[in-house]
Amino acid sequence: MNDRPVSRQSNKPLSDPPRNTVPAWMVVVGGVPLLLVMLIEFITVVGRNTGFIILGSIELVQAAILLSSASAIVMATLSRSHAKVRILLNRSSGKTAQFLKVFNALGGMLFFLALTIGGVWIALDMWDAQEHSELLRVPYLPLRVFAAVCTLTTAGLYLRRMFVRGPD
Amino acid sequence: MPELSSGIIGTTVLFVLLLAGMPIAVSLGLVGLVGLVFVLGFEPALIKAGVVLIETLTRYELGTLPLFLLMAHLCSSANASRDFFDAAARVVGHKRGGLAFASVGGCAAFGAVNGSSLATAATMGLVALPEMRKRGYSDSFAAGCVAAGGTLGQMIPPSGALIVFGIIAEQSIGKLFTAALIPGLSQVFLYFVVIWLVATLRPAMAPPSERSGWGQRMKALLRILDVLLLVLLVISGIALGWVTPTEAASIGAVGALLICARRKRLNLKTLRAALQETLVTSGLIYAVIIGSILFSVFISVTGLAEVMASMATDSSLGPVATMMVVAVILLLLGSVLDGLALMLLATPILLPIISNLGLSPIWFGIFLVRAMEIGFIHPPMGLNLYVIQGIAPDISLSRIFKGVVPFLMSDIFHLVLLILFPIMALWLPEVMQP
Repeated sequence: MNDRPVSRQSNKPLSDPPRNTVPAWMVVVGGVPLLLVMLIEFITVVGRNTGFIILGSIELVQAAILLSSASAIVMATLSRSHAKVRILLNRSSGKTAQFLKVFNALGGMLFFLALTIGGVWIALDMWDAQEHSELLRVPYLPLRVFAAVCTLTTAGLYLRRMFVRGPD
Repeated sequence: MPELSSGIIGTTVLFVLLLAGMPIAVSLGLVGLVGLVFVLGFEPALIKAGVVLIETLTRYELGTLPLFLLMAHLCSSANASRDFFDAAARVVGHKRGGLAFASVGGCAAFGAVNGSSLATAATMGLVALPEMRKRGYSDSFAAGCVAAGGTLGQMIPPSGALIVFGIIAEQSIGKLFTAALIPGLSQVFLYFVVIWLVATLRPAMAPPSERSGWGQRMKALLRILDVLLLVLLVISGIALGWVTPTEAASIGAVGALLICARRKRLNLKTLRAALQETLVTSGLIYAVIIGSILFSVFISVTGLAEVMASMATDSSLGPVATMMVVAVILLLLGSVLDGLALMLLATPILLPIISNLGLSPIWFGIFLVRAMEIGFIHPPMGLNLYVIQGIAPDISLSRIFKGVVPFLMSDIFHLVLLILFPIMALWLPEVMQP
């Protein structure tokens, strides 16, 4: 029954983590910036209506959105939640299903690898420019590095998926 | 011309990759990237990918989506879906077809919290379907009601699909939300007409339930007051231009947190679950947006959309007939592609055609989401049908589809109305956000 490949080190079945299991620390990494966006925007609205204007709130929101959204992409990949058309997947089995799974994972790996290379390329070009936002001087380089780490992790997750069995 | 042929080949390859089950984001992004490599070269294509990545992930408007999702998950945790259905069922449940009216009304109200068709169908299905079956409603009709009602989640603002459309088509999300109000409410009205017709012509399919006393009704209505006020604040704030959609979403999320806390349903477990669901869903949509923007850049570089736009202008069909043809094509494509894929494939190609025909992109966003919604309830894709079958496995797909057919007919009528009278979508934004 169990056709999962076995890890040589641990003799445990090697497979993708079950759907919708995301480590708690990852929820914190993506969730805290999201809650920050929520609070900043809420305080901005309240402040605007009470004469207390917060300068540079959009810059903070943009930085927090990047942290939240880049880690959200990793989480969506980890929990195998990316949207796909299932009309053929649901009707295929055996070797065809395995081929489609490897083919699709290869595509995912190449796409996110290309995004990483593109992101790193620009980060290297801007290395000495010391980019930062206008009002609060939020540095862009660490944000670019964080985004690249997330896309590289996503590419890694697709690479792993190419070599494990189980449903797509 | 070589660019044009690469555009046609790229679109064909995209269609094949989507059908092969490659994630939508990856299919769009890969075709866009490889296409740009062919047309522009390796270095510009990769640099464009890097630029799109950072520009997309730092877009201020992108905050709208996860915050509305967070609001929806927190409202779900606060049991809002059950409360909406209960209140509607107490008020109209004693009428013939009353629980069906309550289901659609509950879907519309929950749709104002939740921007997803599938989530609305699933959540309301869990609440309304067992109740309707228990009260002697026909399985097929009850399932059809909830499957069709679920599509309201996509149209009634805040809508996830409209946020995605706004970002990829570079249109105001606030205007799109305002434009969706009349089409959303008229869709609810048409569903009510369908229910009334079925309950009148086939009374056995939708029998009346016992009448609730006024005390019970008031109690049920008071229970939804907080969520209802929050929804009204969020929607009116956007429609009247008081706040940006992102700010409105933050008000919604903070309000939902407070409602959860007031109902003693806020704890670390609930918050973690809501954040996780929010991040996973928004992660998949962010990836799709990045892929879609790369595909749009590729299509615009090839000139394919412009050629199609001038073909549409040169033909003597005129805007109404052209849009009827587009609607038929979208409905046919909707048989094999899911809504998101359909929107992302269609937007970069059709948007220039819409502009050339002198039609509004805001109207087009509403039209596209309406066409997508129909795809949610017609086979073979019809994802809402599968969601309902997941909730009630003893009702066969064919019976669910039979129940959804009257609603499907009203949907097609509604889509035609939207084509004939674009003012349905354009009047409110003009009046409220001149």
